[in-house]
Amino acid sequence: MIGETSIYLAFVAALVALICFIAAALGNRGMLSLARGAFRVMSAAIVFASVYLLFLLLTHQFQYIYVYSHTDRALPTPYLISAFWAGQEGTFLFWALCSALAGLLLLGREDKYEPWVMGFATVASTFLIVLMLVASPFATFDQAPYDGAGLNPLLFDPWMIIHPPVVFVGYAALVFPAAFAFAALAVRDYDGWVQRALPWTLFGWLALGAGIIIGGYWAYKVLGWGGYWGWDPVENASLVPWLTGTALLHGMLIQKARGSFKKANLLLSIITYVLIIYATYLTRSGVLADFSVHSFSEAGVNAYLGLFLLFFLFVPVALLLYRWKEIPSPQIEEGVLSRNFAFYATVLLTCLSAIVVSVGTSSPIITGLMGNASSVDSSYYVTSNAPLVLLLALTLAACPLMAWRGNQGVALKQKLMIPGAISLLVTAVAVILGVRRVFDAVFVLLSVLALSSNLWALLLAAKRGIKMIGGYLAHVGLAVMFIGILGSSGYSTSQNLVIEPGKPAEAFGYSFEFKGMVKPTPAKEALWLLVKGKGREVMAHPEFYVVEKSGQLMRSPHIIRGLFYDLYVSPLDVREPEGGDLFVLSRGSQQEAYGHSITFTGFDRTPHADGSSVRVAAILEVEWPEGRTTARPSVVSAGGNWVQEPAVLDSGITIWLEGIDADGGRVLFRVWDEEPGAGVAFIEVSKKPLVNVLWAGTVLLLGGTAVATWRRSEEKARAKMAKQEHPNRTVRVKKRKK
Amino acid sequence: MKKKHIIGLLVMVGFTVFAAGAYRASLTPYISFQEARAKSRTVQVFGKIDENTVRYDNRAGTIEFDLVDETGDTLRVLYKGVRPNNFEGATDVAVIGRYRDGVFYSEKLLIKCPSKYEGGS
Repeated sequence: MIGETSIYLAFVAALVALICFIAAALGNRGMLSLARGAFRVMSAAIVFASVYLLFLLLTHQFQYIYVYSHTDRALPTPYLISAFWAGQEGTFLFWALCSALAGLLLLGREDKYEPWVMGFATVASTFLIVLMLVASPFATFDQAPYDGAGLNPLLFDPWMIIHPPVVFVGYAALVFPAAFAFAALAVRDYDGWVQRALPWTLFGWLALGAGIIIGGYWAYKVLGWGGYWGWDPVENASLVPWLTGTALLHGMLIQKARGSFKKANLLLSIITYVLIIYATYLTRSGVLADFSVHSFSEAGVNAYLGLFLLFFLFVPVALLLYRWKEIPSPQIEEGVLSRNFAFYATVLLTCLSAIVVSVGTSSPIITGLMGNASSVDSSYYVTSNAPLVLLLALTLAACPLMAWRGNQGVALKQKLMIPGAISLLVTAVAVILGVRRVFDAVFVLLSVLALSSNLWALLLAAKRGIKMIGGYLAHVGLAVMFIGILGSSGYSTSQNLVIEPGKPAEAFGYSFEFKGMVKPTPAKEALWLLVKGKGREVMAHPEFYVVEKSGQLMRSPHIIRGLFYDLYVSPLDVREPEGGDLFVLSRGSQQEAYGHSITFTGFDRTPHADGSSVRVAAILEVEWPEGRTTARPSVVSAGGNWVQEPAVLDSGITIWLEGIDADGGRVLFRVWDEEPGAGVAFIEVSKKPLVNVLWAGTVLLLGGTAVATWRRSEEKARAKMAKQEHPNRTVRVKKRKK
Repeated sequence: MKKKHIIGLLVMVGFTVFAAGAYRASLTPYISFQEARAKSRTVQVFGKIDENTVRYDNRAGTIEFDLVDETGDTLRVLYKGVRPNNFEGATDVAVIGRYRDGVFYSEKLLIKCPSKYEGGS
């Protein structure tokens, strides 16, 4: 009740704030303080609802459907907290929370922009609140269940605690570039908004990028298919706004420096936010459920999400078109060998990539309209992005070598000497090490060139202060990532190994010995592998576990990390020792084996209490010179997999049930007189070069962006100070004439 | 026209043609088993795994199973690749591959979890 009430309160406050912001924007400045008050009330109500949901999760209030669906009593506290954003209703609340908190930072600032920016942001908050009214996180059962359904075991990973909130912080921050663009159109100031919006663009881009990277890291570590990016619709949906955000970021920097790109930046700001809503629509509405490995929930929010999307597409775009003619487009003609052109190329290439990825992702919808819904496979994304990434690497390499207005040929050649020599050398080494495709060799050449030229520019920039290195550091990181992506995706090799007892198997210069099974936790079984090679000796323990609540058998890999490559060890299967003799017996018939007389008398089928598994045992009467017993070797089904449970007799023989023909009343079993040993392990070992290089690159990219965010936030604060000191002088972005 | 716009336009036109080709080549339509048998290109089929027919070959890294669609039509599938994490216990799968001589050869499976759990992001 309390939770629902606070959401209703937030809704009413949001409407009041919206109306007052609109009134203030249209000239009634007196309404502004009322609008701010209502916005604060809305924020307080959302904060309260969030704290209340957290309280419900932490205190196991299972009468709330949301708490029941995403937690259980056994869940450790960090995961109880992360259950906040484990489901759709909670993510909308979290998103609304981030938006409200970010909005509070802008209240009372931003002068003439404030009512427009805040009005726009309030519309976004209102939509999120409406989604919560439709699908409330506070819906209840009539009776409280004793325990919850638990968290999806795949999400049992520290990275998954922080992945969703980081993405939603990014989503929340990226409403402001669109809001400032809208405000700029409204107040007809087509340059001033850029400085105000730039820190938000950088911060949102940083958070969204960090979220995407964390998601990839989690996929690599947990999902066990060996990759970090699968071109799945859910992944693509967050990548596309990040790509247009990249274009926007660079467009804003050109506009600040050169005064061009005014129209493009307004459009990109709006489009980036629309794409974020579209991403939410794709992943939450279930339209792509047949085409993704992710499952979707449908909660009847589609229509509202659609409205949300259309509003933020049409209203700002209509205003943009209305103002289109009066927005100046300065004619700046600069050579192709200029930094200006490098930025232009970056915007063009990232936008093309965004288009290519969205067309692929939306393919089932597009082709569905024409009849036969089809998806594209991942080769489409790789093929179509390859030339774009190659050109991007070229741009990245060239950019720091050039000045804004273009280079003289001689200066460029001089600057190119050392980085060029380094990259030729590295490419030669790469070819010797096994890079064969021409495309790859060129890509290595350009990436290393980008790395060295940006590193060199970074060192020069560092002399002017550590704040100045952000962009270069991010670009060094991107170049490093390019190399890591090429190595790990293009040159990964794998081998399937069968490891028999006492016979280590060899792969990639390492030997893998199967020592037996261990239980890292009561619910999990792990292979115990001794890996030796290259002067190292490591214990690897890839795990199997059955998720009790859904009966799924999960495998999690063991990754042996190295500077130059990772060894990725995936468990496939494990089988009890093979050997002994196989026999087929019909009901009532008898067989002699290892001095024992074995008679098959019938089956014993016991369903498990909850019906999720069944045990089938063969009843065997066994006699030997010193005694007799009834042996019950059995098989247990666990999530579609049959697990054998052999019968070990006092006389020293072991009987496995290998097969059942229930209709014919026959069984196939194996008798063996040796101790059950370690059995046979089946694993897949992959050698993935340069994965750590990729991760190192992501850290540099994000670190560089963080530095740039810091620098631009300070610039914004300084511009504001200057304006307060000289209220009559308008601070404008410097415009140079041609 | 400015030089950079000419270059931009050329890049865009050239690229669009290239990307459209890549798109057509990799389109995998969702079709019935009957249609899949008649085509030699990569397609996508959807059905339930018949649990009794699943056979693993760990040495070759393959899984064989019968896929049954809603009309009861059966398709023998040979999948080669990493076993999807939730393969056991999965019922509904989308299989991407091509049909040849009585068997549907696949290198990609999409598993629909029976649970309502949501994915990563």
